[in-house]
Amino acid sequence: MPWLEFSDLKVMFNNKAISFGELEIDDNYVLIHGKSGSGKTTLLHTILGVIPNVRSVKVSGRIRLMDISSENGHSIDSFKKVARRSFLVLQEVDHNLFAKNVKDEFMLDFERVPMEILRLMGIDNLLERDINELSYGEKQKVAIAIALSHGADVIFMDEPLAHLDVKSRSNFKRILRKLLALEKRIVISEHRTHYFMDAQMKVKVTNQGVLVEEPQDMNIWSKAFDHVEKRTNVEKCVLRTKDLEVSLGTFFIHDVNLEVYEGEIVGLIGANGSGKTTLAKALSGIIDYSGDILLDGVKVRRKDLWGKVAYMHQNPDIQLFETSVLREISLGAKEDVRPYIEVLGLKKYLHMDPHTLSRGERLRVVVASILSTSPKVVILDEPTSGQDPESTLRIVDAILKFKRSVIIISHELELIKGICDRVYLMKEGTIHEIDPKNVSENVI
Amino acid sequence: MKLIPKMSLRTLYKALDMGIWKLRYKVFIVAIYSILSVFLYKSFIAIAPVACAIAIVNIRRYRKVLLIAFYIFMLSVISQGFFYYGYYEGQSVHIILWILRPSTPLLGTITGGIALTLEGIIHGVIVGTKIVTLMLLGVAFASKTKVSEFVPFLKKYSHDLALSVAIVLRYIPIIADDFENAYNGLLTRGTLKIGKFKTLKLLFKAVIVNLSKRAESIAISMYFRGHAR
Repeated sequence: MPWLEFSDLKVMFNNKAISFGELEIDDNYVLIHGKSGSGKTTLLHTILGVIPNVRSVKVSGRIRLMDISSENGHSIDSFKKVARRSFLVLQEVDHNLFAKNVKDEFMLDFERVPMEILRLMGIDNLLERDINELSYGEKQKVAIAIALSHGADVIFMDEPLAHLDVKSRSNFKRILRKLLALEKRIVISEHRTHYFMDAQMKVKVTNQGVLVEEPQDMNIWSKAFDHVEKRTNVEKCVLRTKDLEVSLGTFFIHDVNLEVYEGEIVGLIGANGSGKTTLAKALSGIIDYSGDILLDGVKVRRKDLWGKVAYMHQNPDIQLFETSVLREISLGAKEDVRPYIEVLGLKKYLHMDPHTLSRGERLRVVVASILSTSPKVVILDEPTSGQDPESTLRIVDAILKFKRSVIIISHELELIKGICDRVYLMKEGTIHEIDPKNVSENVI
Repeated sequence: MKLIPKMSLRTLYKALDMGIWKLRYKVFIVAIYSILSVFLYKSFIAIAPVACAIAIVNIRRYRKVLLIAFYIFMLSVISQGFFYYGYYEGQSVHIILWILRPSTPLLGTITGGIALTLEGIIHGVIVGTKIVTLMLLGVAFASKTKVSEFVPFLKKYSHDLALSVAIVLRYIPIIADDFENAYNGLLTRGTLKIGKFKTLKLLFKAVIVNLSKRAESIAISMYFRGHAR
């Protein structure tokens, strides 16, 4: 007997309706995949009763999760029952956490800190750390550890790999296997489908409803960038650092000597919490540093970097200011915005509020907004999180078409290998240049 | 025979260090001072130095905090000195300085006059001492109490209170962070030249939308973590 089933399931937003149709699940390990904005998160929220109880959206159709049935969406009582027996790890990692430090996070839910789970996740060293000081990847590990500690029958995870480094992803797979051995039910919504090809059931969310379908390509990330030509005759160095040092509380980055040439795509990789974002913020003049930063060969002050080295934050929401996509992209634009809208596939969203779009679409809006301000160097911090390969390709195409010098921070090693001319590895508080061909899980 | 045991400054300093106290003692001393501040009047000044000594020992940047405390104290003295309630209630007071006599046409008649009174200054000193003492104790308590120590303590008495405190403690830096990140977003896009008013409007929009999304997510998370009833 299926443990989850729904029929004629439809969710009606103000401006659109998503019809999920029907589905029966009796496997314990399920992967949900589909394009950015196809409705994967909405489906999870509807199955669990978050919609319509927390997010007030109209639902029609029947849902049965374990022995909890509902008509036209879960009522508040059945939602509470569902919440007691299942767990949802949200896509926005830091929204899962609401205490000041890691220890409090666990002490709120339990009598003692489940150290064995923290060790399993490799975060036992983070126990006394302030949540706000953790990297996104570390926050994601804490959120997953909380989910595991609750021992729910079913665990739903929305983009659990989005911010994890490659080693943590392998570790996550090991944990999944352990959970499955304990007969837990796992439902994962992910774009990185190749990590979950062993899932017993793969469900694709499309505009026509849900379909039981294998992802089209096992590892689309590796093939997606075959057409990208590497730039070999780059001459003009636009950004250079000399013995750059950044100190942030107890965290310290030192001896950073980095070069970015005109039109070049530079990758910055490293483990969670290694300091990639801190370095990016220093390079864009957001935080203080010591040492020298040279733009076009001229030493500049921190203030001079503003507007010339643009930084895209991991959280797109905090970089969306306007009431429509068009106004957002035009804000501070120094050139015609139409090519950016075209290449990033944002034409149909122009008059929509950017906050109503999916995470992947919001990221594309932020990328377009940043590129249209014509900075000399653009730093994209994890531009692929929450993105399907197609959306990622749109971002890559935009970068290549507009010939900007770009630093990409990503855990997507295939992307880094595929499009980056040079790669820097962040390790032990400093950077080392490595050959893009040698980029692999082992070097991180 | 020595009646008073020999106590060096170092021993006294150690004894006043809240960091080595149990949480219940810290809560007790803050609670006692809060209650006494309500019931005691002039005699509160006699017990205030103990609290101030505890605060100086426990607050790391005590000079900065003391400076703020001094401003608050002076504000209390000045405001009470000039606007002492007893003067307006017709009590007999010693006028030190007239700012506006009651006989002054219009303003004097409307306000009843404004004068610096001796009783007002004394009242201001007492009120100021109470405010400053409680503030310093509060800061000392916050400096020497780990949140991880405080939340389980509150949880014993009220789960909802513990949860609220935990969320508030996390939200304050988050709001500051969100403002900073949004500001940096404008900064890095070189769009800060659009005028202060528009910049503020854009910042507020980004921060408020983000905070409301976060509030929704926290609500979801609370259900799944068993905190919503």
